[in-house]
Amino acid sequence: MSPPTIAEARPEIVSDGLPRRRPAWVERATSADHKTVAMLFGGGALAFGVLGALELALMRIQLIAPENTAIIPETFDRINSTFGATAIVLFAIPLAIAFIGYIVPLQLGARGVAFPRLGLLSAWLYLAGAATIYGSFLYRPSSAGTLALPPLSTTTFSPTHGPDAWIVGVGLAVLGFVLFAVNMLTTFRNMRAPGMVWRRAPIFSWAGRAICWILLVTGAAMLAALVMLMIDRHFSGIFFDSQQGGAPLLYEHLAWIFFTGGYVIVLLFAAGTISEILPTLARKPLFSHRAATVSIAAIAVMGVLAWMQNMYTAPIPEAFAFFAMLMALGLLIPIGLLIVNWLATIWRGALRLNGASLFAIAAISTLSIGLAGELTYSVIPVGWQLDNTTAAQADTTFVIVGGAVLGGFAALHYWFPKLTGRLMGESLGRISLVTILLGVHLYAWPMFLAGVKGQPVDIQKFYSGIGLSGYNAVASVGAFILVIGIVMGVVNVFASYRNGARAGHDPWGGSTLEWFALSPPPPHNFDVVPDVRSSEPLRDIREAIADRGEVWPRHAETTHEEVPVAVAAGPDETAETSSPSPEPEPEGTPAGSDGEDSPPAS
Amino acid sequence: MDRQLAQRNLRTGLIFAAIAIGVFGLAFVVAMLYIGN
Repeated sequence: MSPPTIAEARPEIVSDGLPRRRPAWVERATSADHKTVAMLFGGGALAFGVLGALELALMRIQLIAPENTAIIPETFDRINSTFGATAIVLFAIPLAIAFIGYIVPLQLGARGVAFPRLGLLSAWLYLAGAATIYGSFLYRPSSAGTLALPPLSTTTFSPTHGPDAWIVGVGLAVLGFVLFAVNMLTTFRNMRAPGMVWRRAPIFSWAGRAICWILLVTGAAMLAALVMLMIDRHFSGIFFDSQQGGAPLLYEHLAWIFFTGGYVIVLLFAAGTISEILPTLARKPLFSHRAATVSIAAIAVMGVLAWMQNMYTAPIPEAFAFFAMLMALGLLIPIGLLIVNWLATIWRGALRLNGASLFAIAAISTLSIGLAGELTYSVIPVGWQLDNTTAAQADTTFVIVGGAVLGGFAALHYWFPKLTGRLMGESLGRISLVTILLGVHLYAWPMFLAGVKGQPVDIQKFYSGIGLSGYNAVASVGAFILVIGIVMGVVNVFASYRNGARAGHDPWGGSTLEWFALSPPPPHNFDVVPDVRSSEPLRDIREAIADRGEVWPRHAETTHEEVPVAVAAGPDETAETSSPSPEPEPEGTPAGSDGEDSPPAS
Repeated sequence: MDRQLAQRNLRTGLIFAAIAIGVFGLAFVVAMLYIGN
């Protein structure tokens, strides 16, 4: 094949003048490009992550000493109610969405998403929801707890409009998540590059697909719960009014389905991220791609089905509790498989230790502690004792910090060069990592021990002389250190955005297609979409180029023209010769016809 | 995006939207059964 030449001259459209370029912030706020939309989600997630951390610090100031009067009970309840929505709905889920929205279309070799404007709408619904929740601070925010459970959230006990703002705010954000899921699931199905059958899709894309299914199903259930609660509050509904035959327990089921889904999303996001980072930085393929995909699917299904593990002390039938326990304990198998997969991947590999891999390893260790706690907690007699104590909260803290915070920073360190064209700062990154680790252990372990002693969650004060003072003092110091670590990490993001070292488009020598695009990628993602022939398409392309005696310009600050020219002649050769373990489709059989969905031929 | 792919996207998107609406509606059906008992 001859190298590509300059295209023939074409007639040009002559206009009186180019339209005036709008200010950058208007471009960012109104662009339907999936990468810009993802940045909206990501910027919001980071901002609300810091806000949530500050709320945690405020609550820990109150709980640093027994019988403290720094924050009055009403204010404490308002901070606590906002913190619950912030941590999961405004921080953890949008952070996962941001990376899925940015990276997955690139990994799949798509030039965009199926419904770009729907994507933009989903981001603005999320931001509008966040504004509604925090706007309520201008008058009176909700004090109905982290889940707004009835009867506490009914007009009898919460007659102000605070819970209304909470319901509408969370509802708008969740509606945004459901629309995002519709958009991305359609993109997964129809927009993959030729040859990108499911078994070749990167693990992070698999995790993204599982996350979108969870958002679609559990988000719709949560929306129904919020609509019912609103009907109860303002239209004389009886859905959750036990006095008139309603069932408050129904809301608890629906809310826990969603928040358990959020927990599983955090877990899957971290799992997908780690499964990308370790093989790339250990310069080895993932030990078992298939086992990882099966594990992710199993965690998604079983994790959500274990929602009643949070309701052991609620009046649910015994069989339901045993089912939840079975699902939660069963999670041990896919989670164990994933961890073994990661260990086998880095075993005897030359793992490059940098911010991304260190955060990934810290995420694995922190998640493991939290998940071990969750497993013991899922055994009914143990869960019965520890339900609604700070011990259960400590397990969740380990998972949220391990998955969303450490996993999130691992993802940022790894994909930041793709997002911005610059590397994240290593020194500040490592300092923030150590600080976060120190903080989470100092915060969560004393909380665990206090919970075993019987300290309930969400309390505004405790009394001296009952053996909880020491635990709470240490936990408060730990929480402050944790918050400092998170803030340092976020500062590192902004500092690196301005001053980070230039990275080139493939700084890690990745094997997946996002590293094929420029950094940051152009609006159309790829000038040429390669023909995918294995689960490591970029490695195939690099080898094809090497076979031609040329060099893949991974560190160069290439222009839009240089990279496509370098690989434009690659795909045909790649398809036939370059894959180390080619999986050729049978003659005359379209890609993916072995029962898998085939991407469109375009 | 070519017209064929756009139509295919629309069909697929509607199916996923229908699943979400189905779950939303199912929650109300479950609520009626729950309250009925």
